[in-house]
Amino acid sequence: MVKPRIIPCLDVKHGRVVKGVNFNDLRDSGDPVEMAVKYCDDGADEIVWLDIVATVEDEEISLDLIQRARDALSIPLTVGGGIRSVRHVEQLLEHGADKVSINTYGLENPAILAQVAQRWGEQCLVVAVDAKREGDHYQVYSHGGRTRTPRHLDEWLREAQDLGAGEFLLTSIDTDGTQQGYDLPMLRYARQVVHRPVIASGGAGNVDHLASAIQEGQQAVLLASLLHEQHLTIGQIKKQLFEKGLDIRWPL
Amino acid sequence: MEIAVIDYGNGNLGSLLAALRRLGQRPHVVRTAKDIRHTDTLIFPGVGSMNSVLPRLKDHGLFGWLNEMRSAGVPILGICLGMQLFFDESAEGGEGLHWLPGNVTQIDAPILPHIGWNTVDATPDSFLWRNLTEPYTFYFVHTYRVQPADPGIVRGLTQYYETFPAALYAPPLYGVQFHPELSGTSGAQLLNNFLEIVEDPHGNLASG
Repeated sequence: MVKPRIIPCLDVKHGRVVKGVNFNDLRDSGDPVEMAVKYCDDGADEIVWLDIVATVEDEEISLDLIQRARDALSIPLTVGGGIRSVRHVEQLLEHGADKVSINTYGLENPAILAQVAQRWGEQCLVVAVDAKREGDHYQVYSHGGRTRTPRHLDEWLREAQDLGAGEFLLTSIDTDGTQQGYDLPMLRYARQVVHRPVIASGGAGNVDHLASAIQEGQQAVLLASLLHEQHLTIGQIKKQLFEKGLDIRWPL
Repeated sequence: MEIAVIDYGNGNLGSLLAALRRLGQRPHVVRTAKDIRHTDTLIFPGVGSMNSVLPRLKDHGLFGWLNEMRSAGVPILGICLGMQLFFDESAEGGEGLHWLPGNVTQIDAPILPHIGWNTVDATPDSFLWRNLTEPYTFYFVHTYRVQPADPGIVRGLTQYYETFPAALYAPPLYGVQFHPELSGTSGAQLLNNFLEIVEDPHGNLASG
């Protein structure tokens, strides 16, 4: 059976990693390529690279970095953040991304999802969704969780799946940053709504949180603060999950 | 060594080309007939949909050349969709190269694509497993699977809700359903094993 994926997330701005520069055995570098390679060597199952691209110069820097990361990385690389055109997707893929992650622009212009899926295949398209509990349902937010959209989570997941999403990266606004654990009810709900893999994001503060999500049937989990603030390496995290009896890719 | 990587669409070939370069190779991409030159091996990469591949290969003047290469016994590695192309036709829509009898059908699973690292149970026959440590674990991303008419060509099986071929060998064709170019050190070793066979077809490198 397929092994749950442990996926570190790199937040990159102006060509530097904006979070997560603490490694026991790595100098405070902030170089996203160096960090991606370190994650890969440590046992990451994939890398998600979220780029905050504000200017044309940023975009060029980031394409060059993505190419350098691809040349060195032997695991899948998903790149997202600020994608606003098929041309931008094309450039990211040409520079070595295996998949692209689209969030806000997909909500504003859902046709782009179908365009990407038709041209490069559904396996290439990760649809990132930020959602928040509101009364009896979950509401979708855009612009990094700042803007409320009219869409309910179930409607948007189904629509994006029909348009060609090969995977979802689902962040709970309620649990993100709390380090109190993933939003298991939201993830459970999403898994019932769609038949695509869902990557859990937001709230993991310790290895038990990862284990609970995986034990529930979660196929993939995204790591951010657990790596950046708890000073754990991917290897240490995977070793602990393995010792808990989870069927992950470990030892490498 | 001359390695031709076939681009039969809007191929996203970056990972495969990078993996080959890390092995010290300088692969060249063949998109149309004008890209054809002498080659020691062909690699069919594994992205996209089978739908439009055959018409495109014909339109771009590659179909006849590919058949000649196969008849001449040039080792060919098919990865994911590249392996599926060896067969007759796909439930995804679209025809294959008809090099191997059999079809391509959708995996029977509640969550698709099958994405992630999974193990391969190898048959005792020789394949490209030399110097790999069991359990063989590779990265998969696919919705469809092959159903060879001849089960004797299967060299490895993988399970995701159902069991399907993950590796096959029908000289000069090698096929893998997983992506060696995305499978860390295991994938690099497997690609290297393939290249060693290309370089030394009569050696003992195929064993193991």
